[in-house]
Amino acid sequence: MYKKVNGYFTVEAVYLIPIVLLLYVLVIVSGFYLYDRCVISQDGYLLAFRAGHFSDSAENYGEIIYADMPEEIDESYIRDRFSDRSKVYPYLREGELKIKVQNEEVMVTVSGFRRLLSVNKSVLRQNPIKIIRDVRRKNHGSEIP
Amino acid sequence: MEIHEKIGFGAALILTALLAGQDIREKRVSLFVIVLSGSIALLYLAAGERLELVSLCFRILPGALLLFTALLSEEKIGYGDGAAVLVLGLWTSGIFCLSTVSIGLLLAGAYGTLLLLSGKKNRRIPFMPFLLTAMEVMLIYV
Repeated sequence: MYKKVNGYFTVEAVYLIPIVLLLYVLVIVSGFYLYDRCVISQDGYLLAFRAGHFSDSAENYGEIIYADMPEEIDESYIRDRFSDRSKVYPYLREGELKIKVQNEEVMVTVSGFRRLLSVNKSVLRQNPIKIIRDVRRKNHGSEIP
Repeated sequence: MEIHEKIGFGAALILTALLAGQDIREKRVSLFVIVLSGSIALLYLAAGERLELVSLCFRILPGALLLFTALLSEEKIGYGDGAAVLVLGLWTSGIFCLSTVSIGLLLAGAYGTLLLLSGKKNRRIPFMPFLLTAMEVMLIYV
């Protein structure tokens, strides 16, 4: 019950352990960095893709696609969802989010952790309703040529 | 600093002071004290509804790394140090624990250099007193 365990460092270990610990920490931190970069890239692309389509994405309302897409996109849709994610991803804390619509493209730039992590995603805006209508018109009412 | 953090740091200081005394005298630390303190820390975390898996992993990470290094290096560092750091992490936090261990290692390195310069090689250095000093440095200055 009163067993005792060794509580010492040898002199050489005092010099080696900090290096070993530093390596461990570097591996763990780079693992977090890569994981965060992957999920932030995926989220950025997906949110830009979806926000480019929606005409109305009010809270608790669902996302609606109308045929007449407005010129501007609902930026709050992306911002709300990224603000939730910053609580989960350590590298996104104190992050900065820029959204721009240019030449039918939605561009989402996310940078965090003193700009150490920076992800830029751009997605072409497409209106699925318009595409289906065009195909039907071309094929005389049918979706299959 | 919130009250539960103050209690955690206080408990960690008492544990480290107890173990430092033992470590200076015998270069060994009591496993019973470490296990008891670790169990109380877990109960304390559970009582405060702060026992989450991710947070727990971060808390035990520095100690687990030291234990793993002790295993790999065939006890060039004692298992007692690793276990004590693990419990220290439970009482405080992963980042605090890692910073404390880093400062402790820096202080132990300076002491080791003095030993080498004075021609005393193959000596074993008790780590807990350096950990205690590092904790005090962290709490007072950081």
